[in-house]
Formats: sequence, structure tokens, C-alpha cells
Amino acid sequence: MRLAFHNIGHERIRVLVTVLGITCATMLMLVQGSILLGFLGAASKIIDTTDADIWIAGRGAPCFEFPVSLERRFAELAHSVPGVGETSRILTRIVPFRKPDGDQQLVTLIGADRGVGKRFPMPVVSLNASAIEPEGVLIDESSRRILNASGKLPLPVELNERRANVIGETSGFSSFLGTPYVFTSYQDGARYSGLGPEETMFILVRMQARAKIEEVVQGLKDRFPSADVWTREEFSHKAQIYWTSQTGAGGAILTAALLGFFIGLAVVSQAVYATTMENIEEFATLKALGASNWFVMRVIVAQAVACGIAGCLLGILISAPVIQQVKSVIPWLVTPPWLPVAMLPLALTICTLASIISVRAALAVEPARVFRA
Amino acid sequence: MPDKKLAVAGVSVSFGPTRARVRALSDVSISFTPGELTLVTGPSGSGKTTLLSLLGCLLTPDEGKVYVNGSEVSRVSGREQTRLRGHIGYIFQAFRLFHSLPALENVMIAADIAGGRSHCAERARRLLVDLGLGDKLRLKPDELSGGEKQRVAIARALLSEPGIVLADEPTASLDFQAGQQIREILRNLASEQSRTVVVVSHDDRWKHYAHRTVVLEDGCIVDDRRNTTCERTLSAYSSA
Repeated sequence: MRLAFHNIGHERIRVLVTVLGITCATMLMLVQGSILLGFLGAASKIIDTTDADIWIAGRGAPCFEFPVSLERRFAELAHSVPGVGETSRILTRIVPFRKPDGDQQLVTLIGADRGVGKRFPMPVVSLNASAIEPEGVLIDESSRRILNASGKLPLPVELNERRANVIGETSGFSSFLGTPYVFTSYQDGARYSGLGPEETMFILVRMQARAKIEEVVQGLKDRFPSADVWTREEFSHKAQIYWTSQTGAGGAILTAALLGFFIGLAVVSQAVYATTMENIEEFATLKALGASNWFVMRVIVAQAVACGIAGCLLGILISAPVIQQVKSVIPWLVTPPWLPVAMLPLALTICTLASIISVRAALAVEPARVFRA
Repeated sequence: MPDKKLAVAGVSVSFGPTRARVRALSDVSISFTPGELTLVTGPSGSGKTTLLSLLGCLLTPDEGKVYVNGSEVSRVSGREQTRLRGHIGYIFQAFRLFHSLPALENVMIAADIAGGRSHCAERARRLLVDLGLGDKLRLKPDELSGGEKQRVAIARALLSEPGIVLADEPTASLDFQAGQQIREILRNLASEQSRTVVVVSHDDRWKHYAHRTVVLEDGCIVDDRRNTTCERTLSAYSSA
């Protein structure tokens, strides 16, 4: 392998081009991968934050953001199904939010009963966590600027022309729809959204201990044939699929990530091939000296893989500040620790694939050509 | 065929498309003896390099047999042919050194290929020192003169202690002084180390160093004679 590493040291410009190709590909894949993962997480964030085992929704609701109304009495009727423990309600609607300066912005209003989950944002009274603040709403810290809500709290605002007070902030609930999330209690939410007294949007079910989820889901389906019943995981997955595949948004992000892969592949292939063809006489010499095909292949692949590792590490290093910058524009972007690690096998795959044409050319060279001057 | 250490028997080789096929060798039979430097000479296109390629297991004849180290080359597998090539020392007109490797590593590449690097480091160094390159072990080919490059190539060819050394126009790119050094080295390989040395060259000066001269014309051997006055001629040539 010394020949491979000496070649790398000798052909610095070409190696630099290869390394930069991998660096760009890694950056593109890492940023796009972070956007895709963040998008998937954001698409099901509200659903995943609840403690519910089962979601009941109006027939045809593809995700949380596009609900179909249900009869409110289903929340009581659900208790007749064996295994059902507690039920709670949650609603969402896009409503106008009048900022303190009088300007107006559309927001996604979410109103929920206390029972939806301990992690779910709820406008509680600061001195009594079990009491809900009347007309109190929470906004996410990422939407503070767009809602012009950076003043002293509580901040009087209007929701759908009704009085409300911003009493606090949440974090990690930045909306991917462009309409910031505003959290409130179910009662206030129903009032702000103009929901009829006999209507609701989603009913969340927590099961009794030892109840079997398949049986409870089936019982609820039988009980409410006009509604959709899913486990929380199913609804979460359904929402992710909807936003990524049916809206085309996920496809676009995935295409950009794939583009990174193929651009890297093209750049590295070109550089590795050019290097191989420039040194084709040396490969003929290796074969004439008795080198096996495996030996020749290892020289080419080792060069490409070494460039791949260097380019990948450089790409990960450069991506860290880039992702931080992108995060200021796209707050829901997520880079789990395994994602940069996953770039390495991808970069090595690029390099190995990029070497195939070069390896074929080197193996096909006639060793007898070494006798030509 | 008296000796199958290195020989061809009734070989013919043609090149080119069917309609414009050119015969490079036609029914050639010859064997080479250990301890002899054989000069293969003749005009351009006479088949010298083709013969050398056959002997080096780098080419397969259309007809006839090639024997290397006692094996009939056409009867052994491709992998075995590759292994046989590892037992032959090659010296090329264009040196064929690896441009990124220093002189010592250029020699060691033969050990890398054979898979015995650790045992050969000292031997590689010794060969280069013996060939007068002791102070140039770390220099890359670009930093060496033509004669020095060819001596590195010779050291590489000898690292695996091959019984057979094949040289194609080894002095064509060198000046008189460097050429003479190479001629002496290759002759000594045959005379003093009993190796089979085959040199292809146009250069008449090789005749004074060769134990045997074979002349090829139009793909056929037209002359094959031992140089009985070789030693005498050589001493007269050297003192001139």
C-alpha cells in the first residue's frame, strides 16, 4: 500500500480535488440529511409529544395539521370500549394572531386538555402548576421575533379577534409550516378557533394497565366506524409519510441529499480515473512484475479510500458551523450524533464506486506494453 | 528442446485485424542457457520485442510453446503465469520506475508484490549500494540520471534473485558511459551469477559483451552464433 500513499503525496493537486469533492458531497449530504431528519421530526412533533396510546381522528385526516372534525361525544363514548382508561381532546386551527404592535400574523393554534401528556406545552399558572391560566397562551422561543413578542410577559395579544395573553415560551416546537405554533388550553383553544360545542378534532386515549393495544384499537374502530383510529406510532408515521412523500417536500430534500452523493461520485470518479490513466504505464509495469489483479485493485481503491476518509472528516468539520448557521433559518433542523458517523460509510461507498471504472481500466491494461519505449 | 528453463518451440505470433494481419514471429524455436548473456538483435519490426514478451509470459503465442522455469506457459493458469512473472527480472528501455517512490521503495515494490517485504529491505539496500547508488536511496526517479534510473531498475529486477533476466534496449536511453556500466553489470549477472540473461538491442556494442548473438529478421531467426572470442574482444574493447 506504500505505492498508494506515495502516489497521494506525489499528486497533491489531484488529491486535493478529490478530497474537496468528497468534502462538498459530505457537507451536502450532512446538511440535507439534517434537514430531512428535522423535517420528519417536526412533521410528527406534536403527536410524539403526547402520552396518548391511541389517536381517534375524523375520517381522512392525513396528519395533525389538517384535521377533520369529530363529534365531541366520542370522548365519552370511548369509555364504553374495554381497555380505555382516560380520554382527552386536542384541536388545531390556523387563526390570525394580532401582535402587540398591531401587525397581524397567521399562527397554528393548538388547544389541548391537561391529560394529553406531561411533556405537552400547557399555559399553567406560574404559582400553581395544576391550574390553567385563563386566556393564557404559550409561543415557541423560535417564533418570538416573527410574533414580535419579545416584550415583558404577560404580553396582551389577540387571537382570532379575541383577547389572549402570551404568558410564557416553549422550546423545540418551531413550526415547519411557516405559521408559528401557539399553545393554549382546550377550552380557550375552542373559543379562539370558533369550534362548535359538539365538535372536537382529535380524541386521545390512554389505556388501562394491562390492556392490549390491538384489542383496544379494534374495539374503538368497531365503536366509531366513521372515524379513523391509530396507535400513536401509526399516526406519527402516517404524518411523516404525508409530509415527506405526498407533499413532495421530503422528496425534494432527499433528492438534494442524493445529488450530493452523485456529485461526489462524479467528481471523485473523474479525479481517480484521470490519475489512473495518467499512471496506466505504472499499472502495466506492476502487472509485468507479477502483481496480481488484487494488488493492482488495492492500490487504486486505497488511494480513493484515503481521499474519502480525509474528505469526509473535513466535510464533517466544516458542516458543524454551516449547520449552526442553517439552524438560525430552519430551527427544526436536527443532526443526531449518528448522522456524521453515517457519512463515513457513505463517503467510502462513493470512493469505492468511483474506483470501479479506474480498476477496470488498470486491470485491462496489457502488461506487454511495458516493452514499448 | 534441450533446455526448458527458458525456451520457445515453434512459436508464431501475429498482430492486427484479420485482413491486415502482420506476422511478428514465424515458427521460431530457441532455448537459452543459464550463465549466458544472449543478445537478440535485428532490424526494427523483426520480432525481437515480441520474442521477449513471450519469454516474459506477457504474451501468448498463436502457435507453439513457451517454457519458463520448466513450465509450459500455455498449460498453466493465469494466476500461475502471474506467479512465474514474479520469478523473472525485467529491465526496460524506459526504466518503468514508479515516479512517486524513492529509489529504495522502487526496488522494494518487487518485494511488496511478492508479499515478502520485511525480509527484503536489507537486500534491496545492498543491491543499490553494490550498484553505486548508496547515497541515492531516498531520491525519486525525477532526481536521478538516466544511468542511475536504469541501475535502480536493475536492482528491482534482481531483488527476487531471478534465474532469468530479460532486458529490452536497456541502454538505448543512456549515454556511452552509463551504457557501458549497464552492459558490464548484465554480463556479470550471467558470467558470475549463472543467470540466464536475454538482451534485446540494436546497439552493436552489446556484441562485445554477449556470449551468444541471435539475429532476427521478418520474424525468423537468420543467425544464431556463440561469440567464442567474447572475452578477448571485451578486454580489447574496454582498453580502447
